Amino acid sequence: MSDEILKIENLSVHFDTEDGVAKAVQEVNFEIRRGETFALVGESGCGKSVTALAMMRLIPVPPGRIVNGRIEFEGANLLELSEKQMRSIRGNKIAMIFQEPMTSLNPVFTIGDQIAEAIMLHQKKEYEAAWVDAVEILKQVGINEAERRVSEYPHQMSGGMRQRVMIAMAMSCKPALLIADEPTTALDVTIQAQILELIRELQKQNNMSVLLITHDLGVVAERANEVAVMYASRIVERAKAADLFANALHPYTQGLLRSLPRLGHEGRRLEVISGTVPNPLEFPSGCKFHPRCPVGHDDEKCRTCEPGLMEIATGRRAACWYAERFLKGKG
Amino acid sequence: MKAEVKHNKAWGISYGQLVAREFFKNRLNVAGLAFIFVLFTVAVFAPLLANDKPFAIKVDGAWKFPLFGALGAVDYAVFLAAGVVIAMAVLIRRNQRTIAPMERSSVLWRQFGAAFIVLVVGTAAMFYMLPEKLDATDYKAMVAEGRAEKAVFAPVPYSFARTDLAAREEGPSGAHWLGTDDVGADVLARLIHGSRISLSVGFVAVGISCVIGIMVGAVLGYFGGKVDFIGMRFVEIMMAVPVFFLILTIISFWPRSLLNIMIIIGLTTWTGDARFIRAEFLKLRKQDFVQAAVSLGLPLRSILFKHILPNGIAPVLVNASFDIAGAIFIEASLSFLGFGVAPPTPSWGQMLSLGVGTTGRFLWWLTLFPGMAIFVTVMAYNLVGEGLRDAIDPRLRKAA
Repeated sequence: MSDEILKIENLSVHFDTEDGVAKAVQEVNFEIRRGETFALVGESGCGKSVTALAMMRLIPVPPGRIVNGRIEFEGANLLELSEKQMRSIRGNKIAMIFQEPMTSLNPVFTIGDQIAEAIMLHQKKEYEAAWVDAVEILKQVGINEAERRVSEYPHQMSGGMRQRVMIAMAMSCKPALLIADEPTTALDVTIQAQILELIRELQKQNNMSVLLITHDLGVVAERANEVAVMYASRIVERAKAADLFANALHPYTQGLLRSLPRLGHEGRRLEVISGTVPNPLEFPSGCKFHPRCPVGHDDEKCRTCEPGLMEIATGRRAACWYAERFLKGKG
Repeated sequence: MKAEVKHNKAWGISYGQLVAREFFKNRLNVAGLAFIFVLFTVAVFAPLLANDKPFAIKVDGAWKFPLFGALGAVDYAVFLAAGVVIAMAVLIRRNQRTIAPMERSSVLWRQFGAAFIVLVVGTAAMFYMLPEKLDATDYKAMVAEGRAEKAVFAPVPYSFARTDLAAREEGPSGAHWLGTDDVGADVLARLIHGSRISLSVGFVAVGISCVIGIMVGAVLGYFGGKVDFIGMRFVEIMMAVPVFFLILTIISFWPRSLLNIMIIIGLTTWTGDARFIRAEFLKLRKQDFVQAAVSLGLPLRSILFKHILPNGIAPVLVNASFDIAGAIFIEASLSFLGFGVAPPTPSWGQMLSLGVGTTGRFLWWLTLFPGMAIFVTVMAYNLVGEGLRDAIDPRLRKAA
């Protein structure tokens, strides 16, 4: 199991609010292998970002609370480390890039200062040496005239450039795991492809693992080795990316795939999953998807009994009582 | 990397430079700043502007320079400090034009270090080499009696402490341009020396209150939750106490010294800064770039004071310029009521209180001139504060 760089077991995160306890993440399990890309997919508010923040121990406490679980990274449980030990992992071993490049850079410092600070901290370099490294990294992420750009301020750069800078910051200490929280959501489509390609290249060069958090199934199909689909705080389906797209076992995943626009289907309305995401303060009973599910909305079992993540076939797991029905051929 | 020095046109414009550009667009701001600058110059060179010792005097064919001999170590230290500040300002401007940003900060630290050493060594040397000495020679009498052949006096040839019982409570005249006070001291000389008191009270008191306010506000705002709840109740209790009466109460228990007044004003006026900083930190700690900084593993010190503080300092800077005006005003009020610095130390507020003469006569020059000095100084600081606020957030100006 040495090629598993990160292993999450039974992670549950709750938030105490005035209206009660919001169970943002419940009993999430997955592992990420070295050099691979693991995608966490789901709609807004399903708990995917909270999972990522928990991995970095960035959940604000209070109101947040990691109720139980283990997050094993390179053999150590991140949840048991001291804040100081955790700081030496953040940015150094696990780095993160955020959704909003426009607001993720500090407006009062030059790009170079921001990249250099992390290098100085984790690699114990002098300012001048760190600055030279910063220029080098900016070149690697494809910024033209890096020598000049390095002394510019964030407001002088476009969104795509800033996301490149964010990636440069995250890559500055050559982390073993990169968490990309919707890295392309705020960018336009042409830039999206470039950024994803850039992450792929850097991943290959450094044999780095990537946790890709997204709601864009197109991105997943292109980039991920493995996929976990989250719905209402739980993982509802896990599979190799190719398997998932060939044959989705959970009705929610099927709904997501159906709602993608396709070539050759012009002139038709896009399909939608009816209903809305349940409020984490009052999840429905039984399977959380049953009120919106074409199979289970009037099924007694689905209404009362919540399915766990079950192994349906080799390498195929889904949290649905009727998943076997959807299995095509022999797994 | 040295080659990049040629690129200086393309170096980024920092936030500070943008704000400065906006600030200098408004003439009132410039006027306020210019007045403060003049006031500083006057305060620094007060003993050269108003002194009863001549710069130079020729007695029996030999030139003597009594004024420079009579200056104390403190005066020379102030000159040195002013020189160092000006030199640093020039150097920082030059750095921006000639040194590449990557080297700027290390050069700057070296320059700051050098400036600090010069200041400390210089001040120590002055206190060591210049013992307090009293020169009681009456040079003016020497000139009047014709014992001196030639003499060059300061523009205002009076000391702020020199009393002249023959010229008590006299109105403005050719000899005393702004009149004299109850013990015959020259009002202009006292006004000039009083600027030192006002400025130092303003800066030291506000410095103390800013440091306390920023520390408290940063902790409350960043940690939030229970810390914030309990802390803010304490701040609110502090705010509920009328500051001026609190200061009056405390000051009556402490010895009346300038330093004590500064400390007390500083210790009682930090609540505004704390609230501003708290609000900014509450807002900023949720910002993506702060999250990004945390996710890079930066230590709390860097997060709080390097990444959040510079983004949230603007309201405190604005508040500080209003607070300086406030501190000057409080000192003047304390002195007016007789709780301020003890005479003969000159203070504008204390001079103001002499406007009702010893015989009950209304001495208008003792009311008007110190009153004007207080008014214009306070207004200049307020102008600068408002200008700074508008420059930092141009939207506020449109709304107003």
